[in-house]
Amino acid sequence: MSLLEIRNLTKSFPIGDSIFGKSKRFLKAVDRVSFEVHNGEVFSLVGESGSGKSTIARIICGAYDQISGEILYKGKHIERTKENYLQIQMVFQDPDSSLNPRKNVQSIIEEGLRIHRIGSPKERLSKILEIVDAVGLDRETIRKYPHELSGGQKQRVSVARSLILKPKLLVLDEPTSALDVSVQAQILNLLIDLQQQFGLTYIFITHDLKIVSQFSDKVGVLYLGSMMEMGPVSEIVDTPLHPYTKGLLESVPFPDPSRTFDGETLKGEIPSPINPPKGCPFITRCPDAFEKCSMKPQIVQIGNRQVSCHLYDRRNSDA
Amino acid sequence: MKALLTVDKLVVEFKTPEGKLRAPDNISFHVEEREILGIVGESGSGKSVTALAIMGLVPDPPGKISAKRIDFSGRDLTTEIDNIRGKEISMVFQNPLNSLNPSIKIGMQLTEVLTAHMNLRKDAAKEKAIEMMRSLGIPSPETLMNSYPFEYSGGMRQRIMIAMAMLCNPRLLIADEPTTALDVTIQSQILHLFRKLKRDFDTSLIFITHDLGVIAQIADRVMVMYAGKLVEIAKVQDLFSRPKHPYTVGLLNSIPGLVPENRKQKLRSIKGNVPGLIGTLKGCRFHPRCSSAMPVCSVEEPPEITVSDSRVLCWLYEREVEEK
Repeated sequence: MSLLEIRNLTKSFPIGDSIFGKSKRFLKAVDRVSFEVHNGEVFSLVGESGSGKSTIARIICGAYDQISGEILYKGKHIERTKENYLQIQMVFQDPDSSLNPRKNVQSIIEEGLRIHRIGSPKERLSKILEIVDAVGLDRETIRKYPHELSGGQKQRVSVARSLILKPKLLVLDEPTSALDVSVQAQILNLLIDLQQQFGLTYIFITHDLKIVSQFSDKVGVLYLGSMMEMGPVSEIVDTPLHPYTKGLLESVPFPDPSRTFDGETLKGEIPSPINPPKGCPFITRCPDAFEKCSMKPQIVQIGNRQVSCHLYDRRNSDA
Repeated sequence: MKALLTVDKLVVEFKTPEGKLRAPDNISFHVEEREILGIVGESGSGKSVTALAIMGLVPDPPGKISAKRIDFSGRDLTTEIDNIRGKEISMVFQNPLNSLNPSIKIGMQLTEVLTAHMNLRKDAAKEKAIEMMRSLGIPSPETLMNSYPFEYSGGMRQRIMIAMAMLCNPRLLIADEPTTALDVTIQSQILHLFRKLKRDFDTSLIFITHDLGVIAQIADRVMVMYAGKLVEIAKVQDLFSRPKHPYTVGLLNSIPGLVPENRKQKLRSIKGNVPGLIGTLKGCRFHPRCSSAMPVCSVEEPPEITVSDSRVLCWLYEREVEEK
């Protein structure tokens, strides 16, 4: 059974609000995105800046209202109940801005328990120590303040804070982007351990396809708010279908000098989401674009994956 | 090939309230003509300060540069950098928004370089700036000259910075994390541009990055830095196929991969954290995290050892030398 299901999720932000009356222009950050996340899975959302991946993460955690589309949690319409808040937690990219510099680690991790009035102070402390052990921090760390910790330790505190309420689903928004590569590897390994230990499901937001490939089961590739291609990592990374996925994979600098790619990969830049192209959002950069692409492509199911590209239209009607 | 830049025993010492720290600490290397030297390291390794020291841009106080010699084709940079900076050696920084003046038109900022260094007249400078942008594949340079930096995307701003750095035909270009702030598809375009520079302009390049993938794609030789020390310097093929220093090995193992065999596997990461640079860590700076550490590693600094074409600072290779 799917733990979380997103159907036709759309989120627009008003822009250029005037003092008098409502704004008439909107920025569509997420455009009819649908996906399912199963129990115990690592589902990655990958995309460049402006692709809408962080907006989706925040919507799942209830940070935005006024959305259209449906979000089903355990098969039912998600409600912003206490239980759901406890079960869906988030880890942010930059621990320097997500950890309160004036609170010590104990107080940071305890906050969720305090707010939801869980346990006596003594029980809370033992829960905190248990989670601090699990994320690989020294017990003495709980007396320290964020500025006394290294980047990797701070991110471990962020993870501990999100796990203290025993969530089912963890939404991780670029949790390793601010870290050095050796520390990033430690945090990724920790996340793999914690997933098994606590039976967690991850939604992993990243711009790094190398992490997606190493770490996740399924991936959705986003571009300008739309889902371009989605399916098992083994298929998407090894045999991409969508021209954008192909270009994105070619752009990843491969850590092997005998595999240098000396061509320009994708030409041009991501268009402004305020004034997106008509039809397929990728039309302005696509090497394979043809007349039909000025109409928005439908999502086509090919085997285990879904592709939103006119190149694959015919296969669908054949089937 | 001839060495264009030779750095001999460079030390930059910073005085801080907590004590003195040295990064880079006693490093020597050279850059050949028409070569891309990659410098790779994590935060605090001293890679950016090395670049700033070559440019003579380390703020003093708190920083103090000392070097036996920094030789740039026969001239000593420690004394002559003011006549060379911006003209024969130029630099591109990580964040173009911090390097470009937001309130001055791009054209003015570009031509200023030429009027200052080459004594060109304004119209000639404008012509040369447009010509340079055209040769770097920047679309509609005339419009760009009359625009402000905020009107352009991050990738285009970085192209403008590169054009600006190339205006005086420098013999050496230092690029400090020039693609780190960019999306991966734009990064790939900018890397392509750097390769073109090396080919078309005969420029040598020092390319600083924390991303080993980028290093593999762009560099001819690579210098690996850790906590202010040079730990290994080697040809790019050798470094990736036969890394010598345990830190280099650890770094390479820490990169998540696109290859199917690694899927859902844990990474062989380096344990622990980069040590603070203040205080007295005796011996090799990597020994607390090193899985091959020996008793000697915590006592004495490792010597520099040449193994085939590579130079490595690690006690593990001392025996091999003695045996020969």
